[in-house]
Amino acid sequence: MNDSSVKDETLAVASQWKLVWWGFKRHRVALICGFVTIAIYLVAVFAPFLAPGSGQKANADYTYAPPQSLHFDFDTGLYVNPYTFEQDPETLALSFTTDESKKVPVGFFVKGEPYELLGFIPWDRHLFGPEDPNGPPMYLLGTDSVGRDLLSRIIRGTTVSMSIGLVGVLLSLLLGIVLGGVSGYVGGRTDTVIQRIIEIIMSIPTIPLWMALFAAVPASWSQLERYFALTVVISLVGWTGMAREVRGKFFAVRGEEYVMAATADGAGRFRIMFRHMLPSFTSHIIANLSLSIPTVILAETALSFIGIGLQTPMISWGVLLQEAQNIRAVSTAPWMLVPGVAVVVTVLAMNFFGDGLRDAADPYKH
Amino acid sequence: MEEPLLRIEGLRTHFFTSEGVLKAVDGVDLSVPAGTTVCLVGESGCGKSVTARSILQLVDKPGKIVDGSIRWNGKVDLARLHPAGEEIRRVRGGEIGMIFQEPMASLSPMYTVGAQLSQALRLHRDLTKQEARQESIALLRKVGIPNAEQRFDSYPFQLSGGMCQRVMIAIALCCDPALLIADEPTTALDVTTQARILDLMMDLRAQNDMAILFITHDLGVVAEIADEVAVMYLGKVVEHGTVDEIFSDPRHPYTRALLRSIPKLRGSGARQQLTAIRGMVPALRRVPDGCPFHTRCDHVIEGLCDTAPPPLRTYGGDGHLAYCHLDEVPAEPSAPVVARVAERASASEAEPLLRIEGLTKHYPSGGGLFRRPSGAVRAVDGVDLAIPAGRTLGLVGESGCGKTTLGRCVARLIDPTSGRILYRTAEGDEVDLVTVTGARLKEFRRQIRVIFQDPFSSLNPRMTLQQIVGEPLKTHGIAGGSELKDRVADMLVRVGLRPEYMQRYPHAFSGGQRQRINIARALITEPRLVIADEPVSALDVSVRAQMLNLLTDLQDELGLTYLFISHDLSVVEHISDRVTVMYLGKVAEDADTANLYRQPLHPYTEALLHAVPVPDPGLRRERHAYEIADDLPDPAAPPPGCRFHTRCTHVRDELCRTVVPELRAFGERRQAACHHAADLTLAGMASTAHDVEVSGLTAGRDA
Repeated sequence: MNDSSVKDETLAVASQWKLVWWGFKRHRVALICGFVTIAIYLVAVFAPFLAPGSGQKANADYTYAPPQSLHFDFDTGLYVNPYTFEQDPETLALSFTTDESKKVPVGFFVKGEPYELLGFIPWDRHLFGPEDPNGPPMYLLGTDSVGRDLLSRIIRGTTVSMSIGLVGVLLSLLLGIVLGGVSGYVGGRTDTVIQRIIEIIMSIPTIPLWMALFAAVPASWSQLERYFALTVVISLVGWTGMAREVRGKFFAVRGEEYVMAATADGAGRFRIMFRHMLPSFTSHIIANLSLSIPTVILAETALSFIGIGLQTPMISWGVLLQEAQNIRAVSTAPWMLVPGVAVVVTVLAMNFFGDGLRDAADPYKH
Repeated sequence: MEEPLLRIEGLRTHFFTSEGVLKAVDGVDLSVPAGTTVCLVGESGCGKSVTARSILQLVDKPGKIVDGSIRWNGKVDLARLHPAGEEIRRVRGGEIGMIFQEPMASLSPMYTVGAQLSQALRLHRDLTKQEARQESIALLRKVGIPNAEQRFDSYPFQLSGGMCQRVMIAIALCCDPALLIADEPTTALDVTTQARILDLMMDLRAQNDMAILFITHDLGVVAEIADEVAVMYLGKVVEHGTVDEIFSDPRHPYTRALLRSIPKLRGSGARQQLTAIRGMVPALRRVPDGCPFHTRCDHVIEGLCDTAPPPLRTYGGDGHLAYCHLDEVPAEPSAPVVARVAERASASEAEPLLRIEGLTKHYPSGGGLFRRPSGAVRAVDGVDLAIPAGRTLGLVGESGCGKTTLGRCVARLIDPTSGRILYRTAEGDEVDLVTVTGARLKEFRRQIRVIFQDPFSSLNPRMTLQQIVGEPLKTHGIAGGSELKDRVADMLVRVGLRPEYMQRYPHAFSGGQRQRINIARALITEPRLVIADEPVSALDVSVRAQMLNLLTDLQDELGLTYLFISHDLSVVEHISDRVTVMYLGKVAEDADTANLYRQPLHPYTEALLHAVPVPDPGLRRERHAYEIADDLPDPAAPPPGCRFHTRCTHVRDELCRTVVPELRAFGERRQAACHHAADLTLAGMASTAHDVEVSGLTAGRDA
């Protein structure tokens, strides 16, 4: 009896966020995917430390080296077997075998290429890597056409790909909430005009539109500028969905009596919109965000893949996949497709996470 | 004894939730003999609907029938059938029909009513499309839908709530069921529509020789239609008997309390406190030990009622039984008449706090981005009225008559098209609220407050009680910080809520409590005028009484003036000093409460008066004489002449059909808009409910 009344009390004072969290916890897959998503973002933030190398260092001796496997024994601890290679005298193609008799010890917190953590902390330690930085290299996922470590490149690429997702979505969120909010709250003619504009934008096929917008970016721009241009281009096309969502929510909430009650309480327009109405669907917006991040990631991947997005030396998953474009490279070095796996895992994890969040987002729906 | 059509024995339906097992139905015995109407009565949360749904195996997960039998026709045990099996599906719709509370929500908006009706027909009977259509039209005609051929192709949104409920009944009846289960079929409807639907159901019952299991929280409705009554409380039947036994000799304290809490038309015009049942139905998670009703009962015996389950007692010969420890429950004193009544009635007209002159509100209809609006819905069409300071004006009419629009215009939540709203400030100046804007308008928003109708949608689910009730203090800069907290706590106590609830969210409260929060929010700015827009329509009858008493008490305490909007004249009588009746945007009649109820001057008032269910089974058939047709005409194209002539039972001549009647004075402080008001003798309350005792104890069946 006492126990249940305590439970009642906690339920009664539970805020909306608590209710959402309780609902979300019940959703197993979404919970796991939530953790995966968080893990991927952590990787993006600490990429230089987590990656064994910078991913930029080319090594002509090791072009298209296949993945090595990690071994363990009690004498050396973790180790990989180094490569031995032969060059075909006619085609000059390299063929690799691993030398089972030698061991390259692998350690944690090893010295390696210097980098700046979070962009401002200079450091040269890496989570793991070959213990001797000048000895034989370690390529757990193989190398690309100029002998760069694919694992390092994928980890470093996470930063760009994931941040483009976040920044691009935040930008479209801003556009979406402002335009969708005005459209939904004011209604009438304003609403009609905004909605027609959205329809026009939506009716243009996205890839040609991206291409056209991105073609306007001067070739002389630096990598960083191109990066920002890309996010702007993607979000300029992507805000429409968010705007519609927000408008729909405003419409739905506008009819609730508590909005009229807020007017009767003497609250101003701004206060009604942001204090009374917006909180009732922030959870929806967040769920929607986590669902649209993957689309932005895919958009970046697609643009870079067709060669009009980011370009080397910038590393993103799309840039990496660009190298997997030609069939011969893929047939001789199938590990070039591994960045695709990263994309698939991320997109799936975020979609499941977003779905779970959306289901839990409205604790008042029965 | 003959085997009844339906016999439920020891039915238990439990819900297995994460908070534990909720025993929604916990040992119900009930039988429905062929051809009779059995009413299942109780407040919300007593397990009435779950009982009904259990019969048809329609209980949603996580609910489950765990015990008991439901014997149908003396043969099949419905409780044993698989919920999705062939057999139960043959019974559903085929042998037992069911109708629900929300007619609009029960019909699919994507199909025409005809399509849905013929679909039901063809599911259970072997008919061709053409035959189904013919049959459907015949059915629609049978349930009293005019122009059945055209209505066949209408979508639900094109019909009124009452019409939709008729369609639902037609669907439920399409296979001549032996039993019709009606789950609060009239609760969402206007009083006038309710009366017509009840009559329809009674007529159909007689024609088809079927039984009805009728679920309601309103004992007035029970008196209208029941043969037998079962009163339910917290998953158990607490009293069972014939309708006469229940109304003339109620045995269980709960039944008595329910009976006393119904607002009744008395025709005296005196304001009277209602006797409400204390508290509310406890949550199913914490059903009290012993007699479940002991926490709210006036006759508790300490040490007995709270420990031992009450024994079954039988009274008389055939099946009047109750579960109570007391064999003879002492009579309760009747409610005191509000002390100030005499003074109220005799006081000469006080200065009006609010005067409305020629108020109109037209909504443009049709039109689009490049088109001009093609017409206008005249929601409010030239209304004059005045509210004396410190009094209550009741504004009455069916839904769609413009009363809510009028209230919102006064609160300046919408802008009127034309007219003046003159408000007398505390300094004695008259201000036209229509012209006020900006900061001055905000000041009037503090003085004029609104209590909203819907206890669920009017409270922001994302805010705590403190935020909701304290919001007006914040926006007006009246108080903040700990002073705000103190004020909110004080207000909560006044409306009967514990101040500890301040940090709770609205989802933790029942409908009645939410309405108290609503009242607290309205009164916290110390307003002078309060517009109460159907504040009790969405509540159970028992809670209604509590709410009306609270509003009356607060008025006396704080010297408030009320504009009380309602569709139910029985509610209005208990709180109003004057009553204005509206029809299609215009005032039909305006009079002091007592006069209006004793002797209405407008036929519409008469119809409204007699649509209110009388909680006395002896008077049930008299109402028929004053009935009016269902549907409000389209307010975009009101009928010419007197707007009411299409439904008026007293319509006489060309005058009614062509000339718009003016609002004319009849005697002192009394106006009506009827051409024949002077020579019609209309029936007021005094002529039917004459001297009927409030609790119905003396009612005989001589009709």
